[in-house]
Amino acid sequence: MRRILTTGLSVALIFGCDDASQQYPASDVSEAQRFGGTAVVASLNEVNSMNHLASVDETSQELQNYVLFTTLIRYDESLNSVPYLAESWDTASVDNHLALTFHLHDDVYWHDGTPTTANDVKFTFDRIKDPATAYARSSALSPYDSAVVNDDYTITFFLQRHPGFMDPWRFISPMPEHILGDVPAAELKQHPFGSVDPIGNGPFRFVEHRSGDRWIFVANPDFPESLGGPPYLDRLVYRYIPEATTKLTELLTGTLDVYIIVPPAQIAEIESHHDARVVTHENRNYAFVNWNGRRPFFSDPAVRRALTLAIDREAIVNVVRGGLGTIATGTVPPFHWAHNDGLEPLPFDPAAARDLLDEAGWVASDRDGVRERDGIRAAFELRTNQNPEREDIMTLVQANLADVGIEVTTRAQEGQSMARDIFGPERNFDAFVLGLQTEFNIDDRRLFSCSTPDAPYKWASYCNPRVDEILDQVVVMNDRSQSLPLWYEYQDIIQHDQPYTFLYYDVRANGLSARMRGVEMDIRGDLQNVHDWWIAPADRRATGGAR
Amino acid sequence: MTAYIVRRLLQAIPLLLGILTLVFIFMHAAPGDPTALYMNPSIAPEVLEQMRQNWGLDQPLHIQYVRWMKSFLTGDFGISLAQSRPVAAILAERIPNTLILSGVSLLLIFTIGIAVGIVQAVRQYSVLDNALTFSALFIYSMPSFWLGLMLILIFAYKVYQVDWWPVFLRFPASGMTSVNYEMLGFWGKFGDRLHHLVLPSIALGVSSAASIARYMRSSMLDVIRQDYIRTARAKGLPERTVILKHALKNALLPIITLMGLYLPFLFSGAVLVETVFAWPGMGRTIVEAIYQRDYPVVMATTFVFAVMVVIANLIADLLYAVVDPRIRYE
Repeated sequence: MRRILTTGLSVALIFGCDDASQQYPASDVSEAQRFGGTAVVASLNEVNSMNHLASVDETSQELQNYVLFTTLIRYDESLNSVPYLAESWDTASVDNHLALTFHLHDDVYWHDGTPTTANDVKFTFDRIKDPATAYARSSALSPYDSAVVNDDYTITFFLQRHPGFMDPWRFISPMPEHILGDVPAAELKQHPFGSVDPIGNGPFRFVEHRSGDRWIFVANPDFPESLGGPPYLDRLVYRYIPEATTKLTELLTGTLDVYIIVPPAQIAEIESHHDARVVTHENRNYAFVNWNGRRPFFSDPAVRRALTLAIDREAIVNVVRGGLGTIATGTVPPFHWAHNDGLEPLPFDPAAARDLLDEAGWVASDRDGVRERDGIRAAFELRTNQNPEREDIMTLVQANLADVGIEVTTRAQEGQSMARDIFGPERNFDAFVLGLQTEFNIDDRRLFSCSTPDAPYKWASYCNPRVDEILDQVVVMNDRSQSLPLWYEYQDIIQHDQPYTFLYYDVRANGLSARMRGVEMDIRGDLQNVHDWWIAPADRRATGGAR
Repeated sequence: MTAYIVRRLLQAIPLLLGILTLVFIFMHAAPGDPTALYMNPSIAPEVLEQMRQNWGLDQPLHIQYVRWMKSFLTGDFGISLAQSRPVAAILAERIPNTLILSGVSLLLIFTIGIAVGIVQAVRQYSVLDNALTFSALFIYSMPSFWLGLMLILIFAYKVYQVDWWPVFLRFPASGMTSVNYEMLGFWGKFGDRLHHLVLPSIALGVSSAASIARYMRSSMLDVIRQDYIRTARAKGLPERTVILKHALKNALLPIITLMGLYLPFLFSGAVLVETVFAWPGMGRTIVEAIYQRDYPVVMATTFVFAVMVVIANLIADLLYAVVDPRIRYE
């Protein structure tokens, strides 16, 4: 796993867990002494529901999959599937189809004492497949046809062969059938189970949810040894604190232990404090500028290449992100097995950009210095939603493009009204800055295939027959060594055609108080090893005498 | 009096219905809908369509309106689309939080504002008067969220690094309770809540207190120049009685009008303060609901706000009658 930042500024910011364990040698604290203590986590994202069938945003899913519930499998740090709720699985070919059988642990119980069985998995699968549930990520299970429960702890799925067929079981937490079984699919989202009284089967139990404020979990003492046993922490409090300064203050005064998503401007302050540190890890988001390919100015790949050459992406990463980012080459991020490490991003080269624009016939002839062709001025409106980082990006892009004779006006628009303009089939915009999140199973047909040009995410109106071919093939090839050359070719073409100007792959910074140990965050999520977080007895908060 | 209250409340009904109808129309006229929360390339458009159908958003607007109005009139606020829980439960959780914060602020505003105003009027043009005027204007010109951030920076951060600073004056930066709240005794809980209230209520209230002080000063100055005050002094009453008994009651009249105006203002100003202090109140609820197009929550919170405005104005009108015997409601 690559966790290295390429920009010079950020090298100083990498403080891994090694650093902390030097300060507090782990050997001082025996295994048995690690149990206990409360950790407080705060994020700017509110988590609304623990019901996996209702809420699938990234933050909710982390609490579902790592805290309250259990998934069938997990990814190890190289993103290979490893057993979790399922102790093993095997596959068999059944006339052109694949039969995937999971053998579940028989000692995992819902927190009300009912055993977790294959019926719960089947129930969850059936609800996901039921369109009435409107399960947001149902398309992840589209290769799956049916499921059969063999016995209480064995379930077999029948599916079409697909290279990423295991991936859904990493993020789907089975829900309890004995509680939700009678709820009509269309009403699952509104059922109070998700936010009022969820019952899980994971390492932590639900205690309380105060909306707009916090979720409180306590350790599940009965969590089976086969899944790692009870977690070290006694209590886990997940707070919703929108304002960054407030989170910073709480972290530095010791009332917050894990500060999710630290803005670059606060990193130096945290690092200068002896009771806190910053850890960084690559995450799945990338930022880009989308050019509306239906506009005459943006329809030519050479012009789009010129735009990318003219934009100083390194400056954007350094100024806007404080170095927390890697210049992007396309939709396949560095953590992904198909990422082409040999592909160098286009350089910042305004001179080359001017030449390309001249060649394409866009020349500045009159006094205003703005290029023109056939009476069309090289002027456009760049938009983004109300997000300070992206507004700063717009300003930098505006200045860069002015240097090569392109006039940019900027506009920060309310999210939903911008969504109407960019998703609508009329494509009522010139260009915009946004971010997207990559899946572990990349399927870029939704962005770049030639079919269904009016679909919401075809906002670049990009079409290249060769890309079409590749995208159709890579999603059905099971052998990575066969599809890798195609993935490389795809990244080369995207680099050449520049449907988007890819800005950077995001690197996330999180703040930790010195008392937190054993915290490892990576591409799998901020909470991925919350089970193993621990606090030495001397570092724990006074609890007011009650314990 | 009772007849007057009933009449006022009855008059409020068409007003509230009108407000709700307008808000309903405006909310649905705004682009987007609650499914935007789920907008992501890996989510199929059919899924979003199904969500709309599950939520009844695929129906024509007038049918949605009638449906909503029907359930609203039977006391059912519906279920939040973004938070997946009954709106009534959300309100039951959030309204008390807001009332605690704005109640304490209101108390702060009027006690400090009135007291400062009286002192200034009595000592007009003294050094004290000028100093108070200066600080009132200084505080008044600070936006509440900025003041909140500064309070956090100083009283919830910097003072932790000063060893001699008393512990009870080191305030928490956010939230309503500490992490160990459940483990405290009754007085511990009470103190913990109070401790959490100090900074947000100051941030929310102090600038309004400054403006109340300005109003109080000028209103008091008007009153103490009146003949009946001279009479009171002439018959030998002590100055304290003259000011606090004879003058104050009359000087309070314009302040009461302000109270009716301030209550709704406190709720709207609370949005920023609630965000800064991570206070789970109504202001944030409504703003977040508007951005998420969480229609049932927007409608219900609007309703609550409108009711509060109506009641606040009614209370102000009734208080007139208390302080001014010339005013009677038949």
